[in-house]
Amino acid sequence: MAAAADRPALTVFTPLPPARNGIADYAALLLGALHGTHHECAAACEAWDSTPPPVPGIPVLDAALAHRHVARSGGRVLHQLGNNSQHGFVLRALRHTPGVVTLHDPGLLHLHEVAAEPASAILAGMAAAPAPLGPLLARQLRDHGISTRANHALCDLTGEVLARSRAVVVHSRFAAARLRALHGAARTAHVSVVPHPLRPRPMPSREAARAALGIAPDAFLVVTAGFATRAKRFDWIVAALAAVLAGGTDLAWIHAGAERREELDLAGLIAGAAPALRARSRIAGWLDDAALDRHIAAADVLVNLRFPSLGESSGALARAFAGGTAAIVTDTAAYAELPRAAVLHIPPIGAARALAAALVALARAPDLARAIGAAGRRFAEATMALPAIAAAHAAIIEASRDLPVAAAPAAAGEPPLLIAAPDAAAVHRALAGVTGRCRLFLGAPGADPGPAPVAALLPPEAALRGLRVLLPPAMPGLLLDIDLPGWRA
Amino acid sequence: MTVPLLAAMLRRALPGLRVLDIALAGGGLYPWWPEAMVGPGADVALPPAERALLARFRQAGGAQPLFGQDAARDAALAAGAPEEWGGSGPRLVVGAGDPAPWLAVGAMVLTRPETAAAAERAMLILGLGGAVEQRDLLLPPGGLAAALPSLGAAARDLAGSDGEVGLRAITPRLAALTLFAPASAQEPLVLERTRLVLQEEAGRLRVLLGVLPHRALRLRLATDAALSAVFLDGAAFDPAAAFLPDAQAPTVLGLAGARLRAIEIHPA
Repeated sequence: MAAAADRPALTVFTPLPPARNGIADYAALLLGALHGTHHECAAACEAWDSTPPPVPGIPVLDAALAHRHVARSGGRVLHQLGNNSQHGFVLRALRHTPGVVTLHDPGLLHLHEVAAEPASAILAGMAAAPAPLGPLLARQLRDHGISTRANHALCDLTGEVLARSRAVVVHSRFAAARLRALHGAARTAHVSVVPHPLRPRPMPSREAARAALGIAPDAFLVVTAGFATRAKRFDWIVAALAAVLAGGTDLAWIHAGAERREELDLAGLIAGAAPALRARSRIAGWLDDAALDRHIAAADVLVNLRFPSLGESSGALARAFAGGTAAIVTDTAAYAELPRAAVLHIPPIGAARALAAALVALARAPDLARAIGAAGRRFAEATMALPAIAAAHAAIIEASRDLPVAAAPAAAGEPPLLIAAPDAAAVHRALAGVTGRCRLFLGAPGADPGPAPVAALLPPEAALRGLRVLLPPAMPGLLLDIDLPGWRA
Repeated sequence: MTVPLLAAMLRRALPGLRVLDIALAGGGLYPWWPEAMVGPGADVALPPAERALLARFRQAGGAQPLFGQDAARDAALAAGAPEEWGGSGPRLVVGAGDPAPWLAVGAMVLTRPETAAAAERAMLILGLGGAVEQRDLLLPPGGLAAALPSLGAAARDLAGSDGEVGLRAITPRLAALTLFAPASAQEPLVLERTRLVLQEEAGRLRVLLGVLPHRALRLRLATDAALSAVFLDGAAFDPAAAFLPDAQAPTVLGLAGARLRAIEIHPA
């Protein structure tokens, strides 16, 4: 092992525990493996006042000032980016302090919405989604305030992240292929797949975990985990569990995670279920690391569904692998890449019925559940070992150090003057690649366009700040003062 | 760095002086003129990360945007509006890229000596604790003759018996003032919270202290309870320890766990 002085410094922009965020747990794990072996790490956090330091031995920096540390220490940077509000500071940091990005979630529209990103940035990302839907949805949002779940499924806002990163790490081949399909081979040539790591510390035994949780040794325990989101298909799970109980197979269900009521009312869903299921269900709420380990170790099966899935990875599934707990997943997206022997796949079509059948089979054959869990652990130990995952990250960080990124947002200055004919195609050509403030002259002899036609000519992400009508005999037309977001495809 | 001495001299020489310090990123009078209106300067070439950092802050204890963040207020200041300047008394702009517009509305401008301007000029050559620096005070027409006697008196007051003062009117439009003061002439700086440039979010406070003299300093923090975290320029810091400020970038103090009342800055 190299001496500390020989190991390059690495600044990691990330939330860390005690943030209630699975990526924070992941980052703590990865930092612990990188630090002292490959790098001398520092963690740049929004919650810089956490005491004690979240990862022993790794100093915490104030993320707002971490760029100074990066400039002094050699410039190696890793960003941990997920699709929730705790990653807003990471998104803002990567714009001016570029490095390698671990992209945990696809899409990023939710992050942009909840992290107070300007509307223009959201519209630019939506407009860059494949035509005609992306630009259409962007105009619907701009002109009518219409935003639906389709926006999240169809509009991918990772274009800026791809452009501003030296390299991007995703956790599955599906996630990499999806990025390539949406953004093209050239813009995703720097995307690598590095699996989610297996936790190196031992999980508690099933017996010890059940004793700690007060669960009978012979109970058939089903566990779900993480934020209770709509994509985790609790509707299917509730239907399947109710059917299992109605069929005479007893079980207990614990959701080992927090609710996200603005998205899904899990408690209400359970309250509306059959009385037998209500009596056997419990929502544990947010759990710390050790408590989550106990729940997954105590389980006979972890049900870990995603549909639709855009390629998310699951920390809970990695824990199930580590504990040898059988897991049931949806046969879709990244989960479809898992070996058939390592997990039970259920199809998205007829999922509730298939899930119920799988649960009954596992309840009747505990050895089968244990065999699947053991196969999952063997698979994970072979492909997800933490030292190998850390080494892969270190190699990517070193290999990409000198790769260029898109320029940071330009500072204020004299806005350039652009000239175009008053039609959408000409305006599109004139504004291609332009960011920030600019003046656009639309020569329109004899024309009298009002605000609505002007808005229709401009890309949806353009903010119209001012308009002057220039009359003959000088150059007749419109002089627009517009603002374009800092990154555009 | 002689800014503390310069601020003390201007304060004595020009009572009621209102200061607009737009050299926040590179070293102006703040924090030695804590009541100054401040800003990073729109025409300063700052790295994007530094610009993003400065954009977080508000002045006057967090109550007001910085110069450069409120276009209407900036325009009123540039036009010399008394309600924005806090009256019609003497005004000084520090760090203006182009002094001419400010001189045109009657303000004085404090610049680096290489700044070209067709204005009356007092070359201020100050020495404090071994450091010698020159700043030029540009004045609107007739301003030099009016200001020179009071500048000289203030300099003599600060020099005391151990220092040196030289004052010479070279031409009606050019004068030179030299002031060499003993290190003891620098008084500890006390900054009340209401005068600080700061940002507060989620119980965490960042205080922008400006570009401090590049010499060993100590902080004394007055708070209503024990602090749970103290950071200096983004890293954990022992507030009892001396520190050497960055000579190129503004110092930022981070505090959590208690309400800050005041900061004192002392030579170590």
